[in-house]
Amino acid sequence: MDMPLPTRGRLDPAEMVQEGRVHRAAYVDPAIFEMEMDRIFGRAWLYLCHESQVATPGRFFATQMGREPVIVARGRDGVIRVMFNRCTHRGAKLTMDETGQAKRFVCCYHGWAFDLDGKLAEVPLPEGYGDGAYPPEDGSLDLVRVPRVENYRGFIFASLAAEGPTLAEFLGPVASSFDDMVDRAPGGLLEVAGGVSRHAYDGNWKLVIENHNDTLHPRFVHASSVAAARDQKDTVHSDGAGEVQIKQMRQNGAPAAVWESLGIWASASGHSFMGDYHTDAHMAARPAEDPVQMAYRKALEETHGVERTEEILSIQRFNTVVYPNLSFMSRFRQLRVVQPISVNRTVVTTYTFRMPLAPPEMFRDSIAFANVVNGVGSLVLTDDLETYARVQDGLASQGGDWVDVKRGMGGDANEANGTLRGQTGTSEIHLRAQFAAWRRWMTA
Amino acid sequence: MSAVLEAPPPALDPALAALVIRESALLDAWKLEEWLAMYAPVCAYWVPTEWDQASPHDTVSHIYDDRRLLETRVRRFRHAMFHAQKPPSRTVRLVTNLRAGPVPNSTLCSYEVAEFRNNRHRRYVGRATHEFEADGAGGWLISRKRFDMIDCDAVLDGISIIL
Repeated sequence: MDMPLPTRGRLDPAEMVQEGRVHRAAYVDPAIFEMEMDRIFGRAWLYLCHESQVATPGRFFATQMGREPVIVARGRDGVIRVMFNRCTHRGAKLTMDETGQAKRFVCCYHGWAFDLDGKLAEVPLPEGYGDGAYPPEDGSLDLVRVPRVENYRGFIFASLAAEGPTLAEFLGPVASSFDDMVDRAPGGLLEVAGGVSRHAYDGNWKLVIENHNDTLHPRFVHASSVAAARDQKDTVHSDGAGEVQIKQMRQNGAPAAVWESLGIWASASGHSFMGDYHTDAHMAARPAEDPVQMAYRKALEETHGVERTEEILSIQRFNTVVYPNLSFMSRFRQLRVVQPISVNRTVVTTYTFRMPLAPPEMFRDSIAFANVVNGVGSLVLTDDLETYARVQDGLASQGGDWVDVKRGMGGDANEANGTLRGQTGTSEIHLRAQFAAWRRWMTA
Repeated sequence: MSAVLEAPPPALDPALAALVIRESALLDAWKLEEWLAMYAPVCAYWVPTEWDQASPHDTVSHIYDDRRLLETRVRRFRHAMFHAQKPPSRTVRLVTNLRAGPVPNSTLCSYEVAEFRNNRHRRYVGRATHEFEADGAGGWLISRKRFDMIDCDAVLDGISIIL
C-alpha cells in the first residue's frame, strides 16, 4: 500500500511525478493549477499567433498567456510587439476585440491613448493630473511589454519571463515540425483563414495536450464514428465535405499494427510528435494523378526544385505538441491553442491555414478536415470531450491517487535528432516527457 | 432578414410549415431514420460558426453535413460506444415565428433546442431556415436546413445531438 501524500493544497510537485506514475492532484487541485499558471505559463514560451494574423502595421491580435491578457500588435515600424492588455491608469482592458486594425489603443474609461508600440501618446485633460507632465516623458506609464517575443518561421511566441532559454533552444527538435508545415506551402506562404473553431470541456488543460499524440485511444474513444463511417455507402451524394470527414473517421479505425508501427518522439522540453497514420492519399494530399495534386506538386517544385519537393512530401508527421499550450498538424495545417481557464475547465481554439499559392481545392478540403477534427459538433471530437470530462470526474475521486503512464516504459530509445523514440507507436513516452518537463518547471 | 420585415410578407405554405413541425417532432422522439427520410438525396444540414456565414466551404462550421455524412451521423446514434450520448439526451424543440423563407419553397423560424443530459440543461437558440424541393409525388423533401445560433461564434462545449 502506497503512503498517501499530504492533503490537498500542500502537495510537493517533486513528489507528484514518480517513475511511471503521476499523482491525480496534478489534474484536480486548484492550488496546483495556480502554481502551474505561475511557474509554467508564467515562464515557458507560449504560442500566441501566426504573423499573417498581424500582417500589416496596425493589425492586432488579443489573446491570453495563462492568466494574462495580452495584445500582439504590429507597429508602424513593422515590428511585432506583445503588451499587456491593461491600461496603465486604472487597469481597464484596452481592447475587447480579438482582432482588428488600430491606430491607437484608447482606454474606454478616461481616454488614455496608447500607440501601437505601447507608448502612452495622449492623456486627455492632462493638467488635472498634477504638476508632472502627462504623458510622462520617462515612459513610466507606457503599456507594459511582455519581455521576450520571438518568431520562428512566422509562428510568434512570447515568454513572460525576462530570462530563460531562447525559443530555438526551447523548441529543440520539434522546430522541424514548423519546418514541415512551412516547407509544404508553395512559396513558403501560409495564412490563417477560414474562421476559428473553438471548443471547451470540463477538464484540466493537460488532458487535451496528452490526448493529441495518444495513438491508442481512437479504437476505443472513436469506435462509434469509425463503425458508422465504415458502414456508409460511398454511392450516396457528397459535395466533398462529407467525403473528407468520412475518410478521416475510417483512418481512425486503422488496424492496431498501423498504430504500433508509427513513430512517436518526445523531447526533454516535454514536446512530442507522432508519425502519420493516413494511408488514404486523398486525406493526405489527394492521389498523385489528381489534377489538384499535380498542380500542388508543380507549385512546390517551383519553390524547392524536384528533388527537395520529393523530400518534403515524403515526411510522414501527423501531430506535434509544443508543451504546454500548442498542438498542430503540419501536414493538415490545423493549429490548436490550449487555454486553461481553471483546474477543471479548458478552451481550445483551432486555426486553419491556407496556402495562398496552392490550388484552392486544398483549402476546401482543409475546411472539411477542420470540421471533423476540431468542430464542436464533429462525430469524432464529441467523444474526446466526453472522455476528458469523465477522466476529470474520475480523478476527483479518492479511489486511487495515481495515474499510470507506464505503457512502453523501458523501451524509450535515443534518436540522433535529440529526441527519445517510443518503443512502439502507442507508447506513452509523450506523457512521461510532459511530466518530466512539468516537474522541472514546477520545482525550479 | 430585412426582406421578411417588408410588407406584405410572402405567404407561408401550410404544407411546408407542417413539415418543419414534423421534422422537429421526429428529432424530439429520436425517430432519426424517419427524420433522415425527410431529407432529399442531395441535401445539407448546416450549423455555421459565423452569423450570416456565406459558405460552408471557405469557413469552418460547427456542423456541415452533406447527405453522405448525414447518414453516417444518424447511424452513429445506434452504436453502443457513442460515449457522448451516454447517458442519452432528452430534447424539446420550440418552433416559433414560422414564416416564409428568403428563397422560394423555404421557411424561416425562430428555433430553440432545449437539451437535458447528464444533469446539465443546455439551450441552443437561433433562427432556422428550411429549404424544400418537390419529391415528385406531390410532396416535399428538405434540401437544406440551416441553423444560425445566436452564440455561433462563442466557445461551445461538444454538441452530440442533431439540432
